[in-house]
Formats: sequence, structure tokens, C-alpha cells
Amino acid sequence: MSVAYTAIGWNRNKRRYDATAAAGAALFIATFLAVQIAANPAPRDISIATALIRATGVCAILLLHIILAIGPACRLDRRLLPLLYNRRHLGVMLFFIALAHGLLSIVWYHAFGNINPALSLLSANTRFDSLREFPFELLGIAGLLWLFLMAATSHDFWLKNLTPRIWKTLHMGVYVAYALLIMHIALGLLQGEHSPVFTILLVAGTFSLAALHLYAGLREQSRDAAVADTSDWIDACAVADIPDNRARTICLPRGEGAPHGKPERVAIFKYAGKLSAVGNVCRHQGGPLGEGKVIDGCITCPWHGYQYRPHDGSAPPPFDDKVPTYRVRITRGRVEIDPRALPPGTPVEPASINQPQTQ
Amino acid sequence: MTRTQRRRHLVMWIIIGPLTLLGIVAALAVRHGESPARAQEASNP
Repeated sequence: MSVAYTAIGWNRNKRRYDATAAAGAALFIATFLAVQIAANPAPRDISIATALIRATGVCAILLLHIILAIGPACRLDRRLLPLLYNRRHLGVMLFFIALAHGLLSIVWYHAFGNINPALSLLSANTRFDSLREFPFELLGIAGLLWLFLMAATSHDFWLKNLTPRIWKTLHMGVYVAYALLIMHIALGLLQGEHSPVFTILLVAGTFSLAALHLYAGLREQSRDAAVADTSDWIDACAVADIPDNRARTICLPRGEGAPHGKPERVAIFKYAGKLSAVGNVCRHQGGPLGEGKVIDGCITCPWHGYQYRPHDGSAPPPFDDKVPTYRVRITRGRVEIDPRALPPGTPVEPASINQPQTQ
Repeated sequence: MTRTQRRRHLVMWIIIGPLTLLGIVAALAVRHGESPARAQEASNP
């Protein structure tokens, strides 16, 4: 939800984002195809169809790595946040490229015999007891089905109907799909490759992605642990540390501030010479409000544009979403926050940056 | 992302990351030099 929310929220930036991503994918596939054909002059070691199957497969797995890297990369460097805004579009594009890879494979390897291609696909190899000859195609099908499930439910309609908790759990399954697809490649393509290029790329990609996620997660965990465990006003940061119309997030001590006693983050926003603090979690999909901006006087979630007024945590009319608010004061140039959360939507007088401060 | 969500992602990668790398190593250890797809292609020209 935002003031400008519509069921399909297309705008110029989204179209440009999608066009750039689609052009990049098409360029990658064309280049990969050309390189394979050039590297295998007639009589070719691989057919054009095989080259196309490889090109779409490599493009899909590369795109999956990019999609999975966007989240932790944005947590490490906020300048990358625009990539996060339409990540779901990339997910849908990934599904279609992976689908093309799957369909081409079925047509090329299973459609020229007397057996139904689907039956041939499922029954051609049943060596489940052998890692060496494991039916890697089934791993690809399982991964593709999961990508389909996520692409089909990527719209807000499903988010609302499935509830955010179920939706998020379903989409966390992307990691299982990732593991299935990596094994699909390891037990398929890599089994016959004499060149180490694909092996090196796959190991490097998997290692880098895991390292990026672990680094981002552990870094934030240690940052959260550094906050003192106290119920007094908490020293958050210097006023100058918060950029205009942006926020600084801090983690509350365990059990102190957030609703239901759960630890949570608070976003302290600086706007129009004032400071206000709200819960960091957007009511829509749990997006990080502290990574958003103040636009038209409202805190705007970086994920899907849900908006809240900084001083009372309420969405502007006609919407009725609310987030908890917190008392803020300025002491000798330092921002201090009362860790006890106020009920969602409670108005709080913003701390004025230019007025006399608490001594 | 909430703290709980971040912890879930972290736990997921602590499990998935090493398991996936182990899977790749195991697959490389048993490879026999001929791709199943290519063998299939050879039998279905």
C-alpha cells in the first residue's frame, strides 16, 4: 500500500528496470550461444540445440545467483537498494528462462522417439541408487516447479490471501530450489565436462553467495549484540549521523521495546529539522522501513512503497496500517530513544533539531 | 527484514551453503567423463 498504490503498480522506473534486465538476459544468451558455436566449428562437438539449452541454463543459474545476492548486498551497501525494489520481476523472468531451458531439453532429448516426451523424461533414467547416474533431470524439474510456485504467487494478491507468514515461508523455499538446481548442474552438465571452466564457475558462485549471506548476517548480528541491555533511554547515534530524509536503525535490547517482548529494530528518521522513531518493520511484508526515505512527508518502505507518517506511525488516509512509535530526544548533539514501544499509531512529539536540547 | 527473518536466512545459509558445496564435490568425485545428456543425445541423434 502507498498513496499511489494500484493493483499493478507499473511506472517508468519499473518498465526501465524490466527492459534492462530482459535486454541483459537476451544479450547474455546470444553471446553465450555465439561463443559456443565459434569454439566448436563444424563438424561440431555439440549441436546448436545443445548450445541453446546450455545458454538458457547458464543464464538462468546466473540470474538466480544475482537475485539471491541482491538481499545481502543491499544490507551491506544501501546504494544498491534500487535493485531490491523490483526483485520479484527478476524472479518471474528467471522462471521463464528456466522454463525455456526445460522445454528445449525435453524436445531435444525426449520428443523424437515413440514414447510420450513427458513419460520418457520421467522413465528414461531410474538409477536413484547411483550418484554417478542419478536422474539429474528430476532435480531440475523439482527446482523449476518451485520457481513456478514463487513466480505464480509473486503478486501482492497472493501475499494478502496466503498471509505474509505463509507467503514468506513459501518464498524462503528458494534456497531449497537453489540447492536442487546446483545439484541438477553438478550431476548433469559437470559429469561430462572436461573443461574446468563450468566447475570453477559453479563452485565460485556457490561459495561467494554463501559467504555473502553469512557475512551480512553475522555482521548485523554482532552489531545488534553491541547495543547495551538497558531499559533507560538509549544513546542511538549523533544527530549528524542521520542523513536528511533518511533513517538510522538501531536494535532494541532483547525483550524491551518491540511488541510482544520480541527484540526488534527501530528506525529514527530525520526530516524537516525534526527526528521521529518508528518500528522498523513494514506492516505489508516486513520490509525494512529504516532503509526507506521520507517522501512527501511520509516514510516510504523501500520494498513496495507503503507509507507512514513519521510522527504517529500511521498510514495516510484512506489507509489504516500502523507501526509502533518511540519517544526520541536530543542530548548534547546525541539522539536518545526510549526503548519502550508505544502502541501502533500513537502520536509522539518529534524532537526538534534546532530547539533547546535536553542537558 | 526483521531480526527473526535475518536469523532464519543466516541459519538457512549455514545449512544450505556447506551442503551444496559438499554435493558439488561428491558429484565431481564420481564423474565418469561422459555427460548423461550427451550420452542420451548420442543414442537419440
